[in-house]
Amino acid sequence: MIWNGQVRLLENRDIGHDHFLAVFEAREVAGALRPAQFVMLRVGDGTDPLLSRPFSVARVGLGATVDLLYKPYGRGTRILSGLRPGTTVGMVGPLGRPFPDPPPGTTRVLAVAGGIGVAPFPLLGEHLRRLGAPRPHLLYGARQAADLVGRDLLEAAGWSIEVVTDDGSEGRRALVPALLDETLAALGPEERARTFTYVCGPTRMMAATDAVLARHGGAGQFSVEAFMGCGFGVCLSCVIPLREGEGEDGGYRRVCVDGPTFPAGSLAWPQGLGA
Amino acid sequence: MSVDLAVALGPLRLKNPVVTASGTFGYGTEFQPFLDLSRLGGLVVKGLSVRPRRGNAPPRIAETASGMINAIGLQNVGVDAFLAEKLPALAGCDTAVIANVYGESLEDYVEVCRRLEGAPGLAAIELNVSCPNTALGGMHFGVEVTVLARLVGAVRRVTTLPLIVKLSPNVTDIREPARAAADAGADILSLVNTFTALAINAESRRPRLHNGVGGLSGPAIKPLALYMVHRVATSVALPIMGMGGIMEPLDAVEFMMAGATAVQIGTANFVDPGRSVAIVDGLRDWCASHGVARAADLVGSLRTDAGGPP
Repeated sequence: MIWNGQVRLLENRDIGHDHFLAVFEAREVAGALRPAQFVMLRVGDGTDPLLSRPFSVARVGLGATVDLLYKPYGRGTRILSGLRPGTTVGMVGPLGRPFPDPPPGTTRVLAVAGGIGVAPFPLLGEHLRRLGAPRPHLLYGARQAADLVGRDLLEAAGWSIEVVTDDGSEGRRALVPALLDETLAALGPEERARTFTYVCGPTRMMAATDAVLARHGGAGQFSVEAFMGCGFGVCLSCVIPLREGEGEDGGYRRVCVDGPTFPAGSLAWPQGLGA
Repeated sequence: MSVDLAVALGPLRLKNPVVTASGTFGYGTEFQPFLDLSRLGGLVVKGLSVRPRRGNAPPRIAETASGMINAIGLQNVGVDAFLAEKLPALAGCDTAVIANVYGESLEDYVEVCRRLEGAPGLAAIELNVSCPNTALGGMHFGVEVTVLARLVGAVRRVTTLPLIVKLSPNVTDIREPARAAADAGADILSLVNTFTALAINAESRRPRLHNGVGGLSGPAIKPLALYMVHRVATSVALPIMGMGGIMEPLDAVEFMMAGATAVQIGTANFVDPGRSVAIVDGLRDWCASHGVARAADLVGSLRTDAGGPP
């Protein structure tokens, strides 16, 4: 069953540099949530804005809360950032296909995150720990040091973290796909074949990361973001094209129900990006 | 008090007046996690074409003030896959399943309807002659009165199912296509489809939709839709399914007062997948609290005589 109802905001904390952590009391959603799944929130209380907004879930607190790590950049996220604890909002979830577990025989788990694309990784870390998977290592890139957020959540969830920034304000001055390239290149072929990489971030970064994985024959899974009308597969607005030769019909896939996770090498990134 | 919600639209009988609109309800089963389909008066599936359609390139929707503009381009599985996979999955649901039909030519429409004829569990056909988002067909059939009449007549000859014609609001006088559809053999009119609209990204100076234009739906269009329903209801004898921005039970009440015998819930399904059934309950409550014993008594009850308070 998918929950659709009102949930109470318990906490909506500014965690610095214009990023927020919202904690919702939502036992019915939290219990079933898997990494990279998302919820739709009805953040407004009238008809404007009309549509719900998708949010990746960062953490499940004590099996009872749904915790969202977000950056206000559009109308919906700005409204959310202004909501006070005690407010109730409509939530639908959990939605989407979760990240798959690392395949059997995996000896190294990597993740590549760009900016607020880091949101699903705390939950993934907790899940990997429960599976007894190898300790995961996160390559985390952002425009500047201030945009590297949620590191306490990530460390608590078992991640080791390596950061790069576009401007060199923290870590090396580099793009995170290049860091993945170096990391994979430093591995022996056998080790590389037993490495599994999870990816989430801006489209440009994911396209470049997909190209790096392809070059190294690396396996991995992407979590994709899209503007959605419904979140459960009926409005057909969040579609993304598969790469030619992928899928029976080579057509569009719905990010909300066919994704948001897709295997490396399966998506056709927008022109000018990717391999 | 107990309220009788059942309504009859010519040959089509519904247990209640609340029907979900094509393009907003998938093939029905997508909503089973959220509601009991048997609580609905009916459901209209995504528009079906002879062959599967891939639809338009994204972005396909843009949010606007109390509304949204879509240009999906009728992505659908095609009529054969509908009959083989989608329709059987609805067996056992006690609701009127209505197939929405789309074509690029008169022959396409006729062919889809021919294949639907005799399909077990199908309650009616709704002709989509009002999609603004495809290069060929769609709205063209709905705004050219002589073309519309020929199309409805041709489909009428190949189907024994109740025939609904879904009208476009993108006309000067919606009574003209309404009359043409009625004269050509339609049993029911549904209105309105979306209003052709444009959303602009000022930074890029480009349309926000890949298709350029799209169709506007949601609460923004409700007063326009109410006007058109009233206009048709007072000039054409056919029963009407009214739609356009219905979000709340009171919206449904208003459409029925304007002359709709049933209503279709569209965009609201995206926002709250349980809303259609909530509207069934809310409609019953409204009737009960206003001394209306039969929902059908609401139909066309709008008072336009002089003298009363607004």
